[in-house]
Amino acid sequence: MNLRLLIIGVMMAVSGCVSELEQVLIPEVDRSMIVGTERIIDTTKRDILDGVYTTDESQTTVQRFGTVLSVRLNANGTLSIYAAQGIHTMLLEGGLRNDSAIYVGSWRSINSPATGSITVVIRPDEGGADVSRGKATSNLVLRCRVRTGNGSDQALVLRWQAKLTDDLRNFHIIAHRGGGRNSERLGVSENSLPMLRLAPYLGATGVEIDVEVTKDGIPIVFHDPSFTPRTVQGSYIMGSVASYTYQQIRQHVRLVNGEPIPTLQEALQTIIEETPLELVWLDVKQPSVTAAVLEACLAAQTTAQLRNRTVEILLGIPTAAILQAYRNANVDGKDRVGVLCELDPQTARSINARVWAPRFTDGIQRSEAEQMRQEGRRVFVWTLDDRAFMSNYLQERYRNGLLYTGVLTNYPTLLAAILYASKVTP
Amino acid sequence: MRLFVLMILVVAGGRLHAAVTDGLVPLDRAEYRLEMHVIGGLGATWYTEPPSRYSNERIFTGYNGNARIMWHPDHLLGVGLMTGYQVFSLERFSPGPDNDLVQETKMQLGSIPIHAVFEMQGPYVRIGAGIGMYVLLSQLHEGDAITYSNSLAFGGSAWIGYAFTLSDRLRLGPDLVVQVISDRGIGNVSAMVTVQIDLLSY
Repeated sequence: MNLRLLIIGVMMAVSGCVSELEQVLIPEVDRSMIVGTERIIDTTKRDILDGVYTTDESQTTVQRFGTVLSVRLNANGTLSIYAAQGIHTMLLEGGLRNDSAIYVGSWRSINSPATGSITVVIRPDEGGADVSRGKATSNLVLRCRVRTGNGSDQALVLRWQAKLTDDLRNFHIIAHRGGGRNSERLGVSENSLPMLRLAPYLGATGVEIDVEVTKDGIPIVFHDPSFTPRTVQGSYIMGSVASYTYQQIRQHVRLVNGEPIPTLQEALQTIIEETPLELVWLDVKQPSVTAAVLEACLAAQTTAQLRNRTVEILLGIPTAAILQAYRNANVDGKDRVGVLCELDPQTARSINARVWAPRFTDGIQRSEAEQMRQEGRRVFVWTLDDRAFMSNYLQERYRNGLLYTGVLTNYPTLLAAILYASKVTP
Repeated sequence: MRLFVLMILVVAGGRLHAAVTDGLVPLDRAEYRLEMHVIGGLGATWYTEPPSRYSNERIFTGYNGNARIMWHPDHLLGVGLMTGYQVFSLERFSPGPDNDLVQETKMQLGSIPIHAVFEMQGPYVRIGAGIGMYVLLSQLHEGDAITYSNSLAFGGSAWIGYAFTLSDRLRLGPDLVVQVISDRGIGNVSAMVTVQIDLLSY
């Protein structure tokens, strides 16, 4: 009897101490409502619907989503809605049917388990007819029904207020580790192919992915130098990534949400062929893999050209060791691979880096950033996760033109919500 | 949940301590001793998640062989170091319709504990606890090829034992040992036989 109690106690102690992922809830979405709808792919119609929308303060959903939400139609016709309050993202599918638009999907908070389903209707007399004819209108009203986790329905009425901020094309929202903290809420693992496919719909226009190397020299997309319960399932395959060949990793290792670990080549191919992402920042973890990464970048550039895709792939230089490996790399055409230098401005100049990327804790470096801009280099900052810091950098950008043109973040949804709505809430 | 577990451990620890100290007879207060405990036995290991992706098994049997060097000053409390080797689990898998394996595969997880240990020791009953590192040792056998890997993890151990005196310098008895490597989700309960050897008395 005592032994049994002891075993139960040990099991409970182990269970109590292990950090488990929170259960990812998948809300039920009734897709029967969008049968017969036609996706809005046409860019003219997409531009009409895109915008910053506001809600009435009296609505019960204000506490959850705030009063300012940004709506953006994605290239594949899905609809994304972003709210800075509570860091909410919504992804809906649907389109036009007769003179109305109907979308169904789900909403989710990135910093809490809160989730639910949402239905959006644009009636003919509230902009639906104009959108279907491709006619610009400021009379757009999105009538939403938000279903919360406890099954109760709440109305949310969004009224078009302004266009999204003008210079989206000149600014990159870069999702950390392929998707940032979303990997904890969406049931997909960091640095996985499903995460890369999802990143654009969370507001990212680019991704930062990490490159480790296997025993047989294959670059794989993985952050840590070793396999631990934070990143992978199971207990047998652990310790140094470099202990295992790529074939062994492919066969025996699964990320925490069950995905295989992709090679760098697979990840770049997925980004090029299956996403609208425009920028990839490669965070190389081991100097020994630098040459192989350069070769993968060159191959991916060729693939992108063949697919008529514009994706900028940047080799990150985060340490002196990687810098040395980059300088020593004897790869034909390595000058065609853009470099993002996280070291000091002089080093960035010495390797003719396209991007200088200081960390945010160094503060806003106006003179250095301005100098970089004058030299034709862009300046990104990493890793901004706090709303106030994001706003500071964005405001700095508006005061000084395009001083900082990219932000690495674990919360692309939050940055997108702040950026898109910056005309309404600067 | 964690608070509940903590409460259970505190209550269980208190009851164990009371049960043991009730049966303790103070040692000769003038004696300092250096002891070696050689411990071996069988254990059951429990994982919070299945350790491999080819099976849903979470409870396994293994074996342990450890040694403790204990210094007992003029007090019931002894301090020392523990190390050894133990196998938590070993699984064999064959290619089949329910997996994507291409060859016979064996996976094993063992460990080398390196613990600072404390023990309350009377003539017969002992209770102790240790805390420190586990060098986790992984073996992946694929056909004839073996891949070794290792990793460090923090963990703790606790035990209760009884000793029968065989001679002035030798005692023998059973130990029940519990180990927890919490950040890896591994727990182990082992039934052991302990041989206590007095290396030095002064």
